Amino acid sequence: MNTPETKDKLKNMFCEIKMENPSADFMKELMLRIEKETAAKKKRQYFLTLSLILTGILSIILISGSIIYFLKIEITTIKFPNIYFILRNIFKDFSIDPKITGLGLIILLLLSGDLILRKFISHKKDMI
Amino acid sequence: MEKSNDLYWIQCIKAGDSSAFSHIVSAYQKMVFNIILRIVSHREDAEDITQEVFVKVFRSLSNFKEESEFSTWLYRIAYNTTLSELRKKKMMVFSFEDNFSDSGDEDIHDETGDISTEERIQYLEQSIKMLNSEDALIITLFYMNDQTIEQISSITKLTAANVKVKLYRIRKKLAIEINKLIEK
Repeated sequence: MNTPETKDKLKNMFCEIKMENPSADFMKELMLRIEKETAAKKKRQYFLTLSLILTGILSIILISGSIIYFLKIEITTIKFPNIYFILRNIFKDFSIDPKITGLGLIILLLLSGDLILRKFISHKKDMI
Repeated sequence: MEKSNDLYWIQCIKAGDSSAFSHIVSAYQKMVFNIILRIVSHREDAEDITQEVFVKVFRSLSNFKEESEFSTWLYRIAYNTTLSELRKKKMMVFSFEDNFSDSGDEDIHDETGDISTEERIQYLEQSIKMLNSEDALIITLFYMNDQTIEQISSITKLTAANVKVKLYRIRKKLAIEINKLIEK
């Protein structure tokens, strides 16, 4: 039996084969596919995270809803603290101008909205 | 390529730098492509299958345990992907009934020295293409890529003894086919 250690004509013949390179576009095409794979993976990850968050929120609502339903708790029997009263006591020493406070709140809301939109757009760009 | 280099790039890819994969491709594309090229007839088919191999390697990198040899792991993917792609493309060559078991120890004729290198390569390539795809991959990994019997055993999931027997039979088949071509 021919062993690889002994003089092996086949080995010599294999050594004579010239190694060829794949075409010039091979690497470019492959890396494009890899980029697409990465984008698809990120997209899958994004939707997985989103669905996990939604599932979490839904389960919180469902669990609390079923507790309220099965234990026959009436919402009207739960007494929430009087927030207006608390706030009035806290801020009684401050003189708050409702116009300025309202304007500030609107600016804060607009900035938050802008931030969320920018994040959403940049995430979409990453996925493309 | 050094093993530590491979591991460095793998860690970069795992950390999210997918462009680092180009280093892995550069290091192994030539060998993977040439192994596949010996089995399929067209360069385009060989390139398609090589691409598929590397895409699978990229997808499975998270499953790669860094304590094992990366090249063996990559060649295992290459071996399995090539066989499944050939099956898909219906290019799989199934073993022709071999009548070699009773033909005794066969060696390639000494006349190989009298023929040109081009002819020798041509005969060898023709003979490899007559083997079934699995055998062609095993012999190419063994001779072209210098994989040891243990490494081939790990790549193909065959026992080392089985690989040895297969190699013996493949060598015999090749010798008979090459001799036939020389005699012609």
